[in-house]
Amino acid sequence: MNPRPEGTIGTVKQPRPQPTRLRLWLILLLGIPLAIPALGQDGEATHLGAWLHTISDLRGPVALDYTEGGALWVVEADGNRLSLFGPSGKPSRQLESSGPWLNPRGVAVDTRLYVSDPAYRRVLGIAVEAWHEADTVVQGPSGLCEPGALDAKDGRLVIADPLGGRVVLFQGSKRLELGVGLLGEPTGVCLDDEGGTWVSDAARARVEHFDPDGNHVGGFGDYGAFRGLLAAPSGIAWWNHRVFVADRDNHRISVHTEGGDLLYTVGLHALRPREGKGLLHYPSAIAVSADGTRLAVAEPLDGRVQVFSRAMGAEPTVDPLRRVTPQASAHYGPAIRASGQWMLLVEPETHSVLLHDTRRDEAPIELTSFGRRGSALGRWIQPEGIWLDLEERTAWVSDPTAGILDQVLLRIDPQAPLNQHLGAAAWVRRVNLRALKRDLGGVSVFHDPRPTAICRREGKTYVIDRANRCVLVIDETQTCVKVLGAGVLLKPIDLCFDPKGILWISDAWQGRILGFDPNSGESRGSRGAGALQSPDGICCDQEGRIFVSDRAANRVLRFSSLGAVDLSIGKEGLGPEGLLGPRGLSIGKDGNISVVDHGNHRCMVFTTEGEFVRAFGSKLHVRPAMQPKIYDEWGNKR
Amino acid sequence: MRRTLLCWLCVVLGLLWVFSDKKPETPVAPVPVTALEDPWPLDLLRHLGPLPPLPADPTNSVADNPAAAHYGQWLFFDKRLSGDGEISCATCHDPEHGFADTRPIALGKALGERHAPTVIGAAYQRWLGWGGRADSLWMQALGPMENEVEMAGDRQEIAHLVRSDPLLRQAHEEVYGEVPKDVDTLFAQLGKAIAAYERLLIQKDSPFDLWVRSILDLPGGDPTALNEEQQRGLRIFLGPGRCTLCHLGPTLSDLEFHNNQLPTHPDGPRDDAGRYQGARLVQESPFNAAGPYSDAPEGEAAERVRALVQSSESYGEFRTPTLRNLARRAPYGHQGQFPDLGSVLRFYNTLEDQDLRSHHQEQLLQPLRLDNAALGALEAFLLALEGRDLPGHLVQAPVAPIRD
Amino acid sequence: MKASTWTWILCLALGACGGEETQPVAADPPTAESTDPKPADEPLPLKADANGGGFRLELIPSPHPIPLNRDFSLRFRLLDNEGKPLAEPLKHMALDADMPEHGHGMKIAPVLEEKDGWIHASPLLFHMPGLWEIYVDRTQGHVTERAQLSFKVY
Repeated sequence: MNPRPEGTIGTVKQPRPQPTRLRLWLILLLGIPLAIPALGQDGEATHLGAWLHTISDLRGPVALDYTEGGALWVVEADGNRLSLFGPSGKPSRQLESSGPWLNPRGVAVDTRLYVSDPAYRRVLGIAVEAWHEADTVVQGPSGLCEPGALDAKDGRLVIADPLGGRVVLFQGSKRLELGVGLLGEPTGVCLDDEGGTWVSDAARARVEHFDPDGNHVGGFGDYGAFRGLLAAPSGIAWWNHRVFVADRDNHRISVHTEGGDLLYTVGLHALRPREGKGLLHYPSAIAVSADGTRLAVAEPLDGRVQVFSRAMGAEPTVDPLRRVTPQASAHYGPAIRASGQWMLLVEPETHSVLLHDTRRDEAPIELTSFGRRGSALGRWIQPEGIWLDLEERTAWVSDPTAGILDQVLLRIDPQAPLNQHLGAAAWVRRVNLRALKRDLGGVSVFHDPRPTAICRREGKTYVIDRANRCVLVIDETQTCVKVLGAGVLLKPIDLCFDPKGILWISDAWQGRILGFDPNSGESRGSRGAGALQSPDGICCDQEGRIFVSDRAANRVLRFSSLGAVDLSIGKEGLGPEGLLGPRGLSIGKDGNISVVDHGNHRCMVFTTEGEFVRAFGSKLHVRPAMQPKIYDEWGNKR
Repeated sequence: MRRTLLCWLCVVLGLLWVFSDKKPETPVAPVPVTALEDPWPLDLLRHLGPLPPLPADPTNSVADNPAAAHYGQWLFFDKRLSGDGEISCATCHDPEHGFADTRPIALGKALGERHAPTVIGAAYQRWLGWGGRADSLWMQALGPMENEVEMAGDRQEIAHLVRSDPLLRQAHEEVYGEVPKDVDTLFAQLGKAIAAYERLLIQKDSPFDLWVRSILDLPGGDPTALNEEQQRGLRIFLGPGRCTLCHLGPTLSDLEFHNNQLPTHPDGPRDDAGRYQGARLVQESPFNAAGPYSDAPEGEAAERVRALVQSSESYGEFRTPTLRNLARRAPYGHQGQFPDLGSVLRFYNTLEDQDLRSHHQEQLLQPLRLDNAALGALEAFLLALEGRDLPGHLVQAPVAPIRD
Repeated sequence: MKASTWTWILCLALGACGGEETQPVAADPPTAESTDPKPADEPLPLKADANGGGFRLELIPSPHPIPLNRDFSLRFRLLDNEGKPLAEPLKHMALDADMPEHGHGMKIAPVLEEKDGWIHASPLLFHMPGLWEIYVDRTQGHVTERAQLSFKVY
């Protein structure tokens, strides 16, 4: 329990309007039952939880911080810009993409503005009035792998390095590394008033606490959906001995004492497309204003920041009317791979991989799913890259947080009648790339490998290493024999071979795809510069045409075999052309292209000429695509 | 004004919703039940009955000591073990109601969070308590004594009572020899005596036991002990009811923990960690089978509690309750959510009001969709699991802690 | 002869000697092989090739057949592809069990001990009826390989 005195957050009351006769009845009917449980919560009569306003139409807001005066800086990663909003939510300033950074990720306000620029593995210090003259305050490669969230207070600067699995604290000339060997993927970080550092570790579903000297002094959290448990806690803020956690995959903010006791939660899970006004959808970053009267929550997938103020009353609970909502499972992505009639998909929330059969000319049938959360063989912290080979009846799966690559046998006869095959997966082996001691094919790398997207050809496995920004080539003896693209790639996302054997890699931060000779490692040119904003999934058809999903632009571009863009598929929305943050791509046996429509929780299937064929996945999001004349683009019935 | 109207509209809709008594839709497509003349699955029936002899408890050296059982019976009814002298074990585990509680949520010193389960047949359990916070009957008996919402007692004061009350002291010495100086040792000994009494609370020879003996060609069987409807209910139990997935074993429980997303009782907490908390408590307690107060710290139970896995996957899981002797111990469920057997069966039949906490949560249960006749038969079978009544001397406080 | 044929032969053999409660179930793969002749009082080990073929597994549950919802133990050893026992350090081994159709495993983690050339695992508990799989994982350097056996417990 927290021994410290309660703060003003627990004592300030909202002014109450003069009650009329009707309102008196309302207060009696509604107010008393609501107030009683609130009063019972650790003596707190009020909390930060009343939705105030939403700042919409943002381009991938991934980080935010309040100024002393209550203005809010927001990092829009997909817009490559920083925006400042006044206390009422009105925009007041924008530092555009022509700034000194390549791709801003974190922001912190102290005596000046700090911005993390992970593409260059550095953090910039910016005087706002002369922001073009930012100075680099921290830079790799010997330091940070990919600096993300930041916080700054009283001359201290703390940097989360999620891919490096650590947090770096700067205080004057002193530099401390926190949580090495403990943290899995520290995505959020904040400082308290006493010099301590708080870290949210998305991979381990934990919050960790470090003292001013960088010693680990405690923490709390465990994985799960129930109250008090966390699922991918991504952002964190501290105010007056309260710890606020953006519990991303539980779609809520949880507020804890410093000892970890849960006080209350903010926000309910938005189930219908674009629901808001206090309903949350993958809240990823949070900030609390200096006076404790505002809580800002960034939701990158929905392009918005919701702001909450103090409220009196009970914390939200599940609205019984929402139970009419059909089961909205089937969150897909990022990866999809097809082989013959089979199709493999990652299901992130269940930490599993789904095998589908596409032999019917309808939505694919799920044959089996395999894997669940954990660290032993047969479990993953978060599966990300996949590959499928129907001939070998084998799937390959990568887990970047664990640094592993699994090979799984699928004990299903492809000719058998369509049926569920529970428990059909048998693990063959696991390759632990971390155990290679950063010696990858004779190339010494600085960071522990984080394997993501997978592609296989002629017995070799090509896997992207996000931490070292390269492609590892692994032979049949599970030895890393070569490294491709090192020093050239910035943020490699996906890879595929074209019919000529050129390996194409999408690079989100360079905004283009790059070709390599897989044997010599030499460059074979690039495509898409100027046309692609944030290239993500990539695949190639038999004619050598390359399809690339552009996550930030909500579309898929087709490049002719000569390299020109000759088709654009999809636009932002929910209808039959609608895409929101498209990720993985794959061309199936029927020649159609399946796109993981990640933000819409569904898969869209198009012909290679861009005609809509079908959608499958979450019912709420599939329906608008299948019945465009009945539902508008946001899924509302006309 | 518009806002006011909206508020009233909400209130009216809310009231309509609250008071609407929407019945579940009529179950569709009743699942075919095997014909009465079909052969019985003997392998499966062997797992269910007849009730076997009580397993030994090597962690309790007085588990089957009659003097200890008598002393324990006294303690079970002795209200002086509670903080205010007004609550005994029998307050919530009422012999009149199958050693369970008629209240949905137990009320001791204060309102608790769970229903008080029956003590009858508890000696067959592997883990005790809805969340399995104990791994032996004697360890379980210790918890409520000091729990502030149950008996709110204190082991120091209880030890003082045993040392200062001549009859209690004499009874204790008769079982254990000298009263130990160490309070924790004394406390554990009290639990072991209560456990010895609770091991006698077994209702044997239910109609099902007699019937299954005849089916399995065991002595003492009676082929007429189950009537036609009860036999039909048993076939549903073994087949389309899918009950034996969890209710398998001589107590008709797998003795383990599951989260069936039961609805919450209005007086109970919506969030109860269940086994997630229980597994931690039992592993950390010095009174577990591997601890210093166990009489078999290297035995099988000790090995099991040491090997117990702590995982948040067990959040919200509760122990599969025994289905024996259901008649007198309504309500049912870990919060007493179900006032009668019919409502339990209706829940599993429709899954109406199932408390799904996350749309990512796996749907483990499927509605049974049995028709009313099948549900009636199932209930008739469940009531045929009622054993013979306990002898009168076991269901009341003895006249003194020491035997005549 | 096809691997699956051998598997069925093994299952029939084990079913004949294993009583009624539990029967090993064909796994496709691993390839289970017919057992060598042993003295009558020596329990016959169940055998399986690693899923990737890198080693062989011999495993003897006790009691056998594995009882439903009762503690049991087992011993196992690894052999190379010529049938020679592998002297594998205990720290490179892991044993677990799962109900693949239910998506969960055991609620206890058995302790492994090396004795007489076998690795002994205890306690194990299959608390629900149905198909269970026992996994033995062997780690060499940066690669872990798995061998597994299936059991129908009821």
